[in-house]
Amino acid sequence: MKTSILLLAGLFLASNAQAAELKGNPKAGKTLAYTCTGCHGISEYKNAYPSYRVPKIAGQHEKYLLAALHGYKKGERNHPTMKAQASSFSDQDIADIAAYLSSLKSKK
Amino acid sequence: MIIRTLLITTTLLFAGSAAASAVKGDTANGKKVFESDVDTKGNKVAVCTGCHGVGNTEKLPDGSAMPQENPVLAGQYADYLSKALHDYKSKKRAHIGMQGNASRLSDKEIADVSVYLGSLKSKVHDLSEHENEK
Repeated sequence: MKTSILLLAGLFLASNAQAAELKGNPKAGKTLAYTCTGCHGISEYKNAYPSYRVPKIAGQHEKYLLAALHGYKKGERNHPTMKAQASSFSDQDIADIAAYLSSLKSKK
Repeated sequence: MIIRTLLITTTLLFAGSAAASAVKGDTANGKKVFESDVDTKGNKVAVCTGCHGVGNTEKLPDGSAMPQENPVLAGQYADYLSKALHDYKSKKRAHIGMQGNASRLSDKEIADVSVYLGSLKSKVHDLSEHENEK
């Protein structure tokens, strides 16, 4: 009994640590982020209903981008297209995309 | 009848998109709202800047770096910020702290603070700047 609790705790810690330690690869992220440009890569591009400009995501904090993408993947955030996109990505993909987007510097 | 309904619907759609895309707000008041450091009970708390940083500095009022888990709001599109705040206010978007903070803002204050943040320059920018990069 005690052993299984210990084992469970160990597994829990291991999986948590793994999620926290996934290192994003900006190069891989650049390829994956091609799909993002359909909406986020068009200046002033508007979401249709309701109408508002889709957010600027280049240069945003890496950890926030991770939280946002995982939020969509888990269904905690509700945008249908973003939910579909995020759930098609693995945790490593999400880490790579966040690493890429956060590394971008504005030239303006 | 059908044509009339269509016309009305079209008009409403246009009116709706025009209203949403151009958030009108008072930048000076938005700055005041964003930098307000008193909560509803009169306690001294940096309500917005305590997590999102002062203006576009990415620094908290005490000079320390803002937590990287929190988004940079300066330089973001005003209509997106307004949408996010309204979603928190109506609890469509989950975040205990932000739901509470947004519910204490009037619709005018949401517009003002969104326009203020959108008027700032920051490292957050449009992905379109990078479309031809190899």
